[in-house]
Order: sequence, then structure tokens, then C-alpha cells
Amino acid sequence: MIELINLARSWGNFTLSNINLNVTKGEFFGLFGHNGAGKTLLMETIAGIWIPQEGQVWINGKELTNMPPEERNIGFVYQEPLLFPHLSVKENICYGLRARRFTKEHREQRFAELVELLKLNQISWRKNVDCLSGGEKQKVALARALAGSPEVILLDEPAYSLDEQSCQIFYSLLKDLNQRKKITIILISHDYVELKGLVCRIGIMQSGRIIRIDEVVSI
Amino acid sequence: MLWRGLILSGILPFHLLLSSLLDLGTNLVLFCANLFFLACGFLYRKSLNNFRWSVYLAGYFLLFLVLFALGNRPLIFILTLFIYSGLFRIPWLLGYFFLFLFSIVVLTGYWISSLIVFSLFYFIILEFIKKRDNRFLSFMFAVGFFILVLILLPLLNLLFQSFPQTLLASFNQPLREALAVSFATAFTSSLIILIFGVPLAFCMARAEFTAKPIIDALIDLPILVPQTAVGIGLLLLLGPKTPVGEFFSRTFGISFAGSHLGIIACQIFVSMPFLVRSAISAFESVNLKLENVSRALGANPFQTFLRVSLPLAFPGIFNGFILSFCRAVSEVGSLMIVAYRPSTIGIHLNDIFVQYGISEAIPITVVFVIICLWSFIVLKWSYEIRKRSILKI
Repeated sequence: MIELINLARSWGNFTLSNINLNVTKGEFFGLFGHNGAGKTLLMETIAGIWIPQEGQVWINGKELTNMPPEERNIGFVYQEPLLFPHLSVKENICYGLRARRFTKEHREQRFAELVELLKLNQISWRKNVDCLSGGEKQKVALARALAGSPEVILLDEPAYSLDEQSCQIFYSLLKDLNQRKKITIILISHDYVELKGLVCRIGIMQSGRIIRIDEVVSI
Repeated sequence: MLWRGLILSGILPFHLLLSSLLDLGTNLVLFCANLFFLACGFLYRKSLNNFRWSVYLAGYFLLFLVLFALGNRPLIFILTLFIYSGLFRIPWLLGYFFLFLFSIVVLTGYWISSLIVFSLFYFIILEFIKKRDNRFLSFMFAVGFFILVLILLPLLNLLFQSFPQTLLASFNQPLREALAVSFATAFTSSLIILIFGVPLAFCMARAEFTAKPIIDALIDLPILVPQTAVGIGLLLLLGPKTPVGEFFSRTFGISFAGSHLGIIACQIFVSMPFLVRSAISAFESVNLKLENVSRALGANPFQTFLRVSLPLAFPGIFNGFILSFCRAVSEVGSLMIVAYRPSTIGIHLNDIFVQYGISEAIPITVVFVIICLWSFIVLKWSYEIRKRSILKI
């Protein structure tokens, strides 16, 4: 599904080098590493925000190494929700659909599906995004990333600023998505124990390299 | 009781002493004022916690010294005594009152403008005092306020130089034409800067390249070059006898020197940095990750620019637009060389000053300043409204 071959790129004095990774379809993959290990940069490279200087990115049997991010259809959720502050909640979720010129009926239909899927019924759609709580914001960000029906979702510590309870809800949502919709997910975290409870395999990153991949034995 | 006796026995002989100098009517009013003063004093002693007779009396003698003894204005002294006694329980208002007195007695000729400046200073210092822990900040502000006074005093003084009737009379045909030329050209040049400056600003805010410091310096260049040098430079490039000027007049039949186009060229040159600088900082303040998210969601770079970066940076860009518009309206130096006619408001003012002297120029200056300030305020105001509607506050 996702295949990274000898990926390398440098940003000033930080380098990602020799990244080899193979994530199968429908897998829930975890990426662990301390601050400054290069997890976010690796994710951004997979999403296409950075073009690697060496190596290749293959997704679904297609080489996407030099393809701009808007053509890849990969869902991306950052640590902060990063909702567009000048748009309402609904406009935020439908942003990608509008950019891809979907018809209005299609947008409405997809929006209703997402509300159903992520249990977003309590949120008022016309509201300014600043009125939402942290957990709601992150859910809306996930809904926005899911709107274009991507086959891969990259999550960069999405539960970082959430409290225990919202965190649990969010993770169970992810697990559900992975199992029912067969969406491939890569989740970044700096909490190994937390990852262990969620994913099938954990890649461990240190100073720009993946040094080890651990299998998690499911009970 | 002791205090009461002392004060009564002090004020009353004092009053008798004064009464010999005044006529009967004034005397009677003064007596009432003194009684009112005392009555208020006793009232405050009961109701205010930290009331001190010495402070209360000091104010009385200050008023007496300034208005009665030095200024020789007994009636005004009586009037102020009433106000002073009444206001004593509201110290901040009393401060304004003393500022008012000071301005009107000491700086008689400039009292309105100086009163505005003093009150502004006092108003801000009061706010600092209320917050308590800002003693150092209020010191820094007091030092910095000096530079604001240098800007405020000439402008305010100017505004109060003319009567409304003179202003209306000076609003004649040439002035109206000059205003129309000024606003039309300034608006056009600001629009042109907007169309070309915003893409430049976006590139400067987002891209990293070797020549960036050079381009950065180039953007500031128009502020550094003297206005007359700008005029000569533009005339050398676009004037009637130059290759570029000849090309334009042969091909399109237009000439830069002495036309609206020349005015616009000068205005673009001098006001460009204001818009571009604000736009750069506006784009820099937009979170880069928001643009990344937009790209990952399927919007191409142009869509991202239109739907995310531009709306979020709009308030800053509009602010820059206002600044560059105002700068364009006030341009004179380079216009004197490139396009003296059709005259803009600045050139018209200069004409009147040179031909008829300062007394004729004053009303026009006042009209000019009022219109400039007014347009600035209106634009700022619409900017605030727009900002609110964008962020949906």
C-alpha cells in the first residue's frame, strides 16, 4: 500500500535518510519517536508537502514521488486541529470537496455521511470554529481529512492537546475507521504504551531514521 | 470640632480681608462660594475615608493664587471654586479640571490644542495607574509621549486656526478639482500597487532564495530616496524627450509629463513600500501549516492562495492599502517635477502659499488635513468591520 524506498531529504541541518517502510493495505501503523526525531517531516513527505531529494514514494502501486499533495488524496491531520478560522464548521469539512469541484448534492451527501460516521450531531454547523472544544475541533479536522474518501490517513499526534476522555473517544473512532472502512492509518505518537494498545506495528524513529519496526502481538 | 473652629476662624477673616477689595455683588457670591467650599469640606470629612483638610485647602489656595492674586479674575475664581468643591470627591475628574484651568490660564492662545494633548496624556497615565504595577511603563510612556506631542500639536493648532465660514469659502472650484485629481489618482495607483504588490509580498513571505535580502532592500528603497530625486528619475525615464516617453506618445498617444499618468507613476513609486510591507507581514502571520492542510485536502496552490492565505491576510493587506493610499494623496515633491499640472491638492496648496502667502493657505491646509484624516479614519473603520466579518467575531 504505502512503500517508501531509500527516502532522503535534508532541511538545513536536519536530514531524513535511508527511510524504508512498507505498510500494507488496511493496516494501522504507529510511528514512535522523541521530539525532533523527524516524524512530522516524514509524514509531510509522504503527504507530498516536501519532495524527497532521493528515493521513491509508492502508494497503491503508483509512484507518487514528484506528485503535488493535492493530487495524492491522502488525509492529513496535524497535532493542532488547524481548522480554517475564517470558515464555518461545515465549510471546513467540505473544503476539500469544494476544491475538487464536487457538486453541491454530492457535498451534502458526503457531509451527512461524515456526521453519521464520526457522531458529530451535537456540533452546530454554522458556528465559528473557535466556539468548539478541543476534542470537537480535532474531530472536525478528522472529518475534513476524511471528506475526500482517502485510502490513507496520516495523523501527527492528533490527541496531543486532548484530555484523557476525549483522547480515548478519538482513538476508538480511529480504530473503528480502520476496522470497518479498511482505511490505512499511520499514527504518530511519542507515547509507546499508548501506541501499543492501538496498532499492529510500530516504527521507531531516531534522528531522521527508522531504526526498528516492532510487531505488536494482539491478544 | 477643633478643626472646624480653626478653619472657620481662618477662612472668615480671610474673606473679610478680600471683601474690602470687591464690590457688593461679587462679595456676596464669593461668600456663598466660600460657604459652599466649607460645607463640601465637612461633608467629605464624614464620607471620604482618606480626606485631608490640608490637601483640600491647598487646592483652594492654588486657585486663589493663580486666578485671584496673579490672574486678577475674581469671578472666574468664584466659579472654579464651586466646581473644585463639587469635583473633589472624584479625583480623576478634578485632574481634567486642573488641566483645563492650566491650559486656559497659562497657554491662553493654544488652550484647545494643548488641552487635548494634556488630556490624552493624562487619560493614558490614569489607565496605567489603575493597573498599579506599571510604574516603569508609565515612565517609558511619558518619555515617548514627547514625540507624539510633536506630531499632535502642529496638527491640532492648525485645525483650530480657521473658522468654519472661512473653510467653506475656500472650498472653491480649483480646490474641488484638485481634490478630485488627488483622490482619483491615489486610488488608481493604490489599486495598481495592490495588483502587483500582493503577489510579490506572497512570494517574499513564503519563498527562500539567495537574492531575497536584495529584493527586501529594494522594497524599502522608495522610502530612502528623496522625493525630488524620485521626480527627476521618473522624468529621465518617462519624460517627453526620452526613448520610453517617445515610444508611449508615438504608439498610444499618451504622455507622462504633466498628465494624470505622470501623477500615478510618482504615487506608485513613493507609496509602494507601505502596501507591500504590510502585505508581507500579513502573509507571514498566516500559519504555513494551514496552507499545507489545504494542499493535502486537494486544493492546488492557486486555490489555496485564494481560499486560505488571501482571506486570512486580507486585514493586513487592506491596512497597507490605506497607508499607501494616504501616502499617495500627500505626495508633492516628485509631482512638482514630473506633473505640476493637473494640480493635486498638495500642489494646489503650494501654489496658493507661494502666490498669496500663509494667511490664504491656512484654510486650504485645514481642509486638506481634515479630508486626509477623515478618509484615513473612514478607511480604518471599514477595515475593522471587514476584519470582524472575516474572523466572525
